Amino acid sequence: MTPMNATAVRVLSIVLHVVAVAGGVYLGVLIFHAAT
Amino acid sequence: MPPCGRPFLTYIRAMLTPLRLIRRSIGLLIGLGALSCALTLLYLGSSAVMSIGGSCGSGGPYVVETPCPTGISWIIPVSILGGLAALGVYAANLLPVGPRLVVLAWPALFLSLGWAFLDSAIDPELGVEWGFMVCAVVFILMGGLPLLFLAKRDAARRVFWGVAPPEAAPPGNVPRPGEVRWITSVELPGDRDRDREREREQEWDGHDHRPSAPASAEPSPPSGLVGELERLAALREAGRLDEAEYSAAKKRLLNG
Repeated sequence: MTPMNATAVRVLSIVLHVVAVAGGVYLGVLIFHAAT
Repeated sequence: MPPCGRPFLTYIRAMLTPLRLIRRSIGLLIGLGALSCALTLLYLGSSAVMSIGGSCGSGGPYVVETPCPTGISWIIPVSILGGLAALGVYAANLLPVGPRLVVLAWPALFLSLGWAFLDSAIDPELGVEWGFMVCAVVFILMGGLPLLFLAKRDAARRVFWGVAPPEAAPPGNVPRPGEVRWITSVELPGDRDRDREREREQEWDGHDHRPSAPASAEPSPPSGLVGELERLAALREAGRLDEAEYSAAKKRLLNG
């Protein structure tokens, strides 16, 4: 098993959060305009 | 949260196999993405309803005065229930380090809806709609007040940056400054007999590595009240009991 580096995991977590929030908002706007 | 007293890196290594990391990353992405999507849909749906007066209806046998805009009848309930489910998925897939935004879900919900109310309350042509304004103030307070806890540096760091590694334990068994340690021992009935029996067995087996001494030089420990009194006296002489403790213990012994 490859040991995980705490800093690498933290950076990954921050990137995932930014991508998820931005993507989720974008998807929400797309769905809303498609549905209404 | 990492368990207390366990070295942080050991925790990370034990916690995250590459497979778990990938699984959790996907769960985090889906959970937080769906939560953001649900909050966006709820904000846009609520704004659409507020723009037509704040209430609408669709379906049913009655004549509806204000029909809902297309899609709103499913967007709002789905966004509420889906948002709750997404929050659960996100919370279950948090990585051991990094941001933890679960506590921000409540402020995000109420501040976005409060903003929608505020936006609808102020109309350049009609002036202020006080019904919406009251809702806006209530929602903004409900969402904003919990954010005050972020004024604490530790709390903000914990939410946006993640859990700080616990302090490493000092090497060896050295007490930290200000740390008080004590040792107690409990002698159970029969312990002394068992020790004596073990010593006797060692002697008979010929594995006794203690320095040999004449039998008369090693008197057997006295038992009973006299033995206890002698032990107390020895402890006092050794400085392990002060006069007050010695007197109290002696009194206890003599009173039974």
